[in-house]
Amino acid sequence: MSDWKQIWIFGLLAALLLLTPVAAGRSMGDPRVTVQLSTGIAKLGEPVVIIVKVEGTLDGSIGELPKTKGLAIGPVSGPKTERMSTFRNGRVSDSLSATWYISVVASAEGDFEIPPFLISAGGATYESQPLPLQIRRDMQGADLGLMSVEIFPSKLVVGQPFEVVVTFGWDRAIASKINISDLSLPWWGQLPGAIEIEGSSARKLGRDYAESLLNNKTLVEVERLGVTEVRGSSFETFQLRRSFLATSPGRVLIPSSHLTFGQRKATGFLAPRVPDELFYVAAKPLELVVGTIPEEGRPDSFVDAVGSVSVRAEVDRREVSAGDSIKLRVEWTGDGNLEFFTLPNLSHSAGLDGINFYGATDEVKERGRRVSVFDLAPQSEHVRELPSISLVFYNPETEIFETVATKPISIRVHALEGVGGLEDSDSPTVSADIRDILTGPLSSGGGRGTPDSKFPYKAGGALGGVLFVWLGLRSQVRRVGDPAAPLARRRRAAGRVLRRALKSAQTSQERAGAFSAFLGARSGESANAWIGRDLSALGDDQVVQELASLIRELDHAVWAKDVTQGPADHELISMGRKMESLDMEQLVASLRGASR
Amino acid sequence: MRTLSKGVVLVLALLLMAGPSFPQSSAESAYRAGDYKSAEAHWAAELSELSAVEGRGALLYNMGNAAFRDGRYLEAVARYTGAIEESPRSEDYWANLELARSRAGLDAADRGDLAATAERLYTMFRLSELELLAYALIGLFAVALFVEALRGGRLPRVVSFVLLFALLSISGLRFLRGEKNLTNRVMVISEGGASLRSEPSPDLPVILQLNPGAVVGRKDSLLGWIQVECKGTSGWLEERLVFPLDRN
Repeated sequence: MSDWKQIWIFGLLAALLLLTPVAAGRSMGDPRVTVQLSTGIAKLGEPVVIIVKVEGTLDGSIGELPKTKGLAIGPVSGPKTERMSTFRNGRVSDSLSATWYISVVASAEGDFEIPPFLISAGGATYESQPLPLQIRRDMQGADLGLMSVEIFPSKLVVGQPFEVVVTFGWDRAIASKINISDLSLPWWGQLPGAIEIEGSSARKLGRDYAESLLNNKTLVEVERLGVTEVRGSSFETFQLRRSFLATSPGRVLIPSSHLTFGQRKATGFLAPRVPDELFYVAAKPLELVVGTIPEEGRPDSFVDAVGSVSVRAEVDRREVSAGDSIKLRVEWTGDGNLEFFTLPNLSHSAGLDGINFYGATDEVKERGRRVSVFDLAPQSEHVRELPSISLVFYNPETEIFETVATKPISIRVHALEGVGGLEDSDSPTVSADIRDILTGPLSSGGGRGTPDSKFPYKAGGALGGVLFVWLGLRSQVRRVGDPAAPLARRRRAAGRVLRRALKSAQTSQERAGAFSAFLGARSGESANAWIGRDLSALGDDQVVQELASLIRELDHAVWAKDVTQGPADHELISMGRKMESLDMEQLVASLRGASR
Repeated sequence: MRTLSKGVVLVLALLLMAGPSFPQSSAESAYRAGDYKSAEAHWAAELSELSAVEGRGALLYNMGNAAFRDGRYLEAVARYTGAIEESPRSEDYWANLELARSRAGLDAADRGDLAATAERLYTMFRLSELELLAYALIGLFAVALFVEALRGGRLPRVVSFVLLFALLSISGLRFLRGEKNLTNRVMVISEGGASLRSEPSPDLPVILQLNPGAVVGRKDSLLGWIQVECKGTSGWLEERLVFPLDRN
């Protein structure tokens, strides 16, 4: 192996070893670290704070603070720790968090980027994202612009979705001049205690969309709302919406957000630079308190549904035969966590007598709407309706567990043909039942036997013995000659021919013919070649002499035309066996030599 | 003498025509009277006295019927499943199992799809039957080899190879089933499922919740608790919440 190859393999192994603990750590529920600025745009001299929040552990520290020209970063204050215990499904779970605040003071106006720095939490080290910060000497535009951040609903519990709505715009009078819009949302992607719900940024049909810069880095699609009257003026307004799921109890801080809008002047290669005409408008910071679902009054059938939920149901058909499936389509709507709660299990529902429940699947699962299909099969014509399906949910607005239920749906079930039905009301109702018990002496008989723990050894031994005997027998047989050789096969075939022919032979001529056929098959000649052949001159071999004598006797019997004369069948078969050791090819060669 | 002989022959003939008849057992009497718990207790006592597996399937089946009639469908499912382990081809056992599973709100044991059919084929023979089949195949294999040794030829060789392949398949199946049997499975028969804890103590947190009808492999037991493994998680369950499916 070459040196380069060894280095490559060792490098690969080292990389695998380094990656393994990272992957393992991720899968075991690491702490969550979020880093955000208190504002993305600030006036010169206005205090700015970097907020570092670690969730899931109290064990954390801030590494060396970064240095940026024009910004004085530090000192660090905190951590401020929070511990909240919740009792859920009989188990107590703690949610822990620690928050640090890092002061940032700008010495001049300009666009800055706070470089990444390291945070240790729960034994692992995390790196923050670069944080963009714009410092402006003067921030005009509060009258020309519009900016607000709202959260719906205002009261939240863990497991409940909520929506953050950013509404912004500018005075219609300057709308034609606006060619830049930049949303400064320092909480974007860094909202502690909440995760963004997948698909919440999807476009909605029939809406008009535009694009805006986000955090001076990326473009984001915003919905165009049109002209709105605010403070007595007409504003061109836009909206950005995102849905989140509250994952842990406590306070969720949404720092101050800003909108930068205005006109960026185009400059030529040699033309003097013209300053941009920009305006700024701010939205107030928000704080959201996420509560927990109370244990008190929680019904057993609660399946973690939170928020407001309403329901309606329909069936694909109302008239079926007994045993046929009906698809009950249930549509859940509302601002609850429709995507996340477990569907009610009808298997244990009391109202399903005579109806088989084959399971439920989700047809549609999106924000604000979920459609589930329950597969039900009424088993007899006595079933008149599908029962209501109920769902218990916790409503944070009213702070009580509420129940929504579908209305029972009337159906008509036809009895199966030949089983009796409505027309045949005198007949007894037929339904499935178990087969009867077994009687007699149950604990004896059967004789199926217990499995043998020594079976592998016994079977292996038997198989080995068989193979051993086969090898021995085979080598012994092959020592005499190959039993599958043409001569050996001809010999065996001739014996079979003789026995078969003698069975059906009635006269001496037929028996002589059968023996001639045997000799022909043995020697490879025709049967006729052996009629009247004289072997007496072929030496003193006893078998040859006996054969010559037998052929003569057969010949005489044929000429005597007497059925009773001639050698018996067993003598012919016995002769055939004696001839097994006889080399017929040599015998025939001798005969031909003698005849010449 | 001749009359006596005729009488004996007549009595024997009548006995043969009537077939075997057995006195009604106390368990059967209790069952017919609707006292299912008592019938079940009798059969359970008979089961505990069994030294071999003969009759275990029938006893479990009857106990399943008693649990079914008593409305304890999950227990019935567990007992029928245990009975099928002993007599995998019994139509009665399968019919009652499917009905009990339906009443217990569980999916059908034989869903009729390819996987379920393959599973049913895989378990259609008992271990002892597989062993008997393997020994028979060894006998046939010996005959085929004997013919091959004496006569040679292609046919005995082909037959020998086919028999050897069948023998190895059956032996492999027997080996796999034997390994599976060693896991000593139990079924959750509690209506509310069963909670898996890291140690045999009800005060410790639940690490996994098992649904009614879930089948898990037993590893150990300790004073009313059993250690099981499910989905790669090992933990302890209260023994009263489960029913053993396999022979101990």
